[in-house]
Amino acid sequence: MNETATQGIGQQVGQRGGQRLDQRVGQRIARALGDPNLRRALKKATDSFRGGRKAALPAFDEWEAMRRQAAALRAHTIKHLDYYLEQLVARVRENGGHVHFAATDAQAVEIVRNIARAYNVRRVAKSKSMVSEEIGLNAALEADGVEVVETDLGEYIIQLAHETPSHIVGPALHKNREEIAALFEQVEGRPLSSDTPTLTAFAREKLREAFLTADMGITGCNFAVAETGQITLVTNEGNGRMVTALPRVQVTLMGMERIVPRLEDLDLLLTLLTRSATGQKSTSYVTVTTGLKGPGEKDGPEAFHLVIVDNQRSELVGSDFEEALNCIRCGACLNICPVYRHIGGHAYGSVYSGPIGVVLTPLLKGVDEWGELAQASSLCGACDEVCPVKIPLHDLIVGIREQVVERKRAHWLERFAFRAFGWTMANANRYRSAQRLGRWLGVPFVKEGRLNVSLPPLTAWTKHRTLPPVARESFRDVWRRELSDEADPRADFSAMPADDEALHSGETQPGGEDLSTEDARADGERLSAKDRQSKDREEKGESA
Amino acid sequence: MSRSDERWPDFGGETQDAFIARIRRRLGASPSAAQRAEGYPGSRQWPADIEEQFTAAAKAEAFLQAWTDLGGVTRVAHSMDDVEAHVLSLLQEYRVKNVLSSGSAIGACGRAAREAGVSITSWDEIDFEFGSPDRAISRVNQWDAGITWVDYAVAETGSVAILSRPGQGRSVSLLPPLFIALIDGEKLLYARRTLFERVSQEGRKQGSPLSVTLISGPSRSADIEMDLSIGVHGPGHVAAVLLSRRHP
Repeated sequence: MNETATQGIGQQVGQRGGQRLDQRVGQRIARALGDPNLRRALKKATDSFRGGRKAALPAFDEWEAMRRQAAALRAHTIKHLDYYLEQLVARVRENGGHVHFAATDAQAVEIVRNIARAYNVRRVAKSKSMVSEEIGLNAALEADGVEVVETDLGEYIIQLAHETPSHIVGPALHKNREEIAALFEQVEGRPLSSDTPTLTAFAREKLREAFLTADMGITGCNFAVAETGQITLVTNEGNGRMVTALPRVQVTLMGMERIVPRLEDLDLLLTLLTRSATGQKSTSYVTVTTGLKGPGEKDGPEAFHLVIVDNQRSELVGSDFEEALNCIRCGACLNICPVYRHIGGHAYGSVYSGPIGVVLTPLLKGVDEWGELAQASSLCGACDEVCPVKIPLHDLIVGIREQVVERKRAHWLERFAFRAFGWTMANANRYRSAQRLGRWLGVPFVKEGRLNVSLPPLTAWTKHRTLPPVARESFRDVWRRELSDEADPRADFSAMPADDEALHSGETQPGGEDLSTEDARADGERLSAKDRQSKDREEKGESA
Repeated sequence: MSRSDERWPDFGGETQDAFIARIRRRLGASPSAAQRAEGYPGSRQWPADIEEQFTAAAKAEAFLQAWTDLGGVTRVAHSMDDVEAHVLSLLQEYRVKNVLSSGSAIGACGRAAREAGVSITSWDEIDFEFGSPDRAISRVNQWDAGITWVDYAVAETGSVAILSRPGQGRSVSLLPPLFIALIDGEKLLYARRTLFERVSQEGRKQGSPLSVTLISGPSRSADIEMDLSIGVHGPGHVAAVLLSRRHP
């Protein structure tokens, strides 16, 4: 074995999971928006994921039926999570595996460190695990002198760059090939071409060494099967298989909700997962394993440790946010989200980005600190539409905003503004006065016929867009002036005739000719013309 | 109750009881087993008789198409002699010199060994452990191809399924750059759902297989600028030889 070549892998890797966030969301967003390479990469990646997903969907009603079924299955599983977890734990132990329970991220890290110590582990090969990112595992293991090698190509790239994933499915989609080549060159110590085959071949060779020399494999868990005590890994590269076939110890980190009752339930969820994520009917590999080799088997782990992680998830059970636990981590909501598509994953500052990250991050890490993420949504609801397990994401985002308000985490100025707004809108006289006041207050800010307020905090809104100035005459004033001779301004529209004949018969209806805006007049004229045509046809004996 | 697992030293963390109790508190009343079973919504997306809705020929056609769409190579054999001939031609096509074969596929490599002098290593003969990497790396890199009979194939997704057992070798279909899957047409299913049901039923009778691996096409990645690259960790080339006895 080439010792010097493999040493480089770990030496390049620094602290990552515990990366400190020294910037607020707004600053991170500003930085993302100012990076044209990132925005190009985001567009390319999310377009590609979305295109794949769209092309892979079956007929609409069939897909809808599958989503409904999956939502019901996920909801049932969470409603009986205690039962299915106990079943899973019992089966894992029957199979010969060991189970550990972590209430917090710190406990989860401690458990894995202790497992590594117990087996005298020096090198770990890791397949993709969002939970390990969530708990900041790598840094802790490295502090113990354990070399950790991420083996998913995208994870390997960002590990070398000391970064966190920017997408659940494509962790390195923000990196271009030149940046990747530069990272690999640091490991290799010689220039590398930046074409995909060269970069892939380099990673294959380096990581092959890691697989074959690792003492311990760490995996995530797409789904655990309660009935059989097996865990399921979904990969395209095959690193999930390597990590579960070659090292002698396997550790699997599992969010406590990632469970299905029966083996056959995997089919529906896998179908929804891979089609929603990348548009594949199946990923290249699906591995369902007890994490152990059997008697007479020459490859496969000799020991299996399942670490079940709560880390605030139980707080969601039975709460208004319970449905967030149904997530199967496909990333479809990221790809469709107009906010994610512009700012990318890092701007969220959390391993979970996009709409699901906006919901999960404050719930797992605290609304006080992370609640402002809920503003990173236009509430367009596109995420709800694509979610394969029908999580009402945008309702949940509104729910997070509500919590922020309830905890009085909103800025005092914002709270004052909305209280004043409520007071003004509650009374017609105050509303009228505010309108007039607004007109006068706006005058100094009108430039070239547009309203351009450069006063904080309004600058955030007007920086990239202008507004028309407040009209000289309000709609209510126009209404009153035009109607003053004819009718009560509070005319009841339901009293107006509904059929065209009455409207255009020439009779003056109450309020009829007072639909006095240009558009309404034009409309009336068009209708009259149409009416005339139809009358002409009738006269000529044609059918309408 | 001890933390985690009684047979093991204390690794830290919380006790199972405390962990489950917290969830139970949040869930409220605990339903009976009967209520749970009643509430289980199932997850079937195919009709129960989906396998009867397709003839063997239709399944074969669908599988071969799906496997091809994924970038795999296909051959159809009608006898064991045919299988051997296809294996020989595939090995020649890919200029394979060293093959790693599961115990079951040794026979299928007979002609390749006799007529083309291809070196065949049976998984049963492997005498090193992967824990001793110095030997493993040099040996693993020698093999140009891995070959095995698979347990099932799924037409819907273009997948082959391998259940772990002695002699099968998880690495056979994983480490070499070319993987040749030999499929008995009798084991070809239409729906992946059926595969899981069969494995589950067999598991209830004689214990679940420790690992079930589904392979659908070559190893692939799009992690470099969404540019598709194959053969990242697993085989970059996959070939399927379908033995179809009834439908020549």
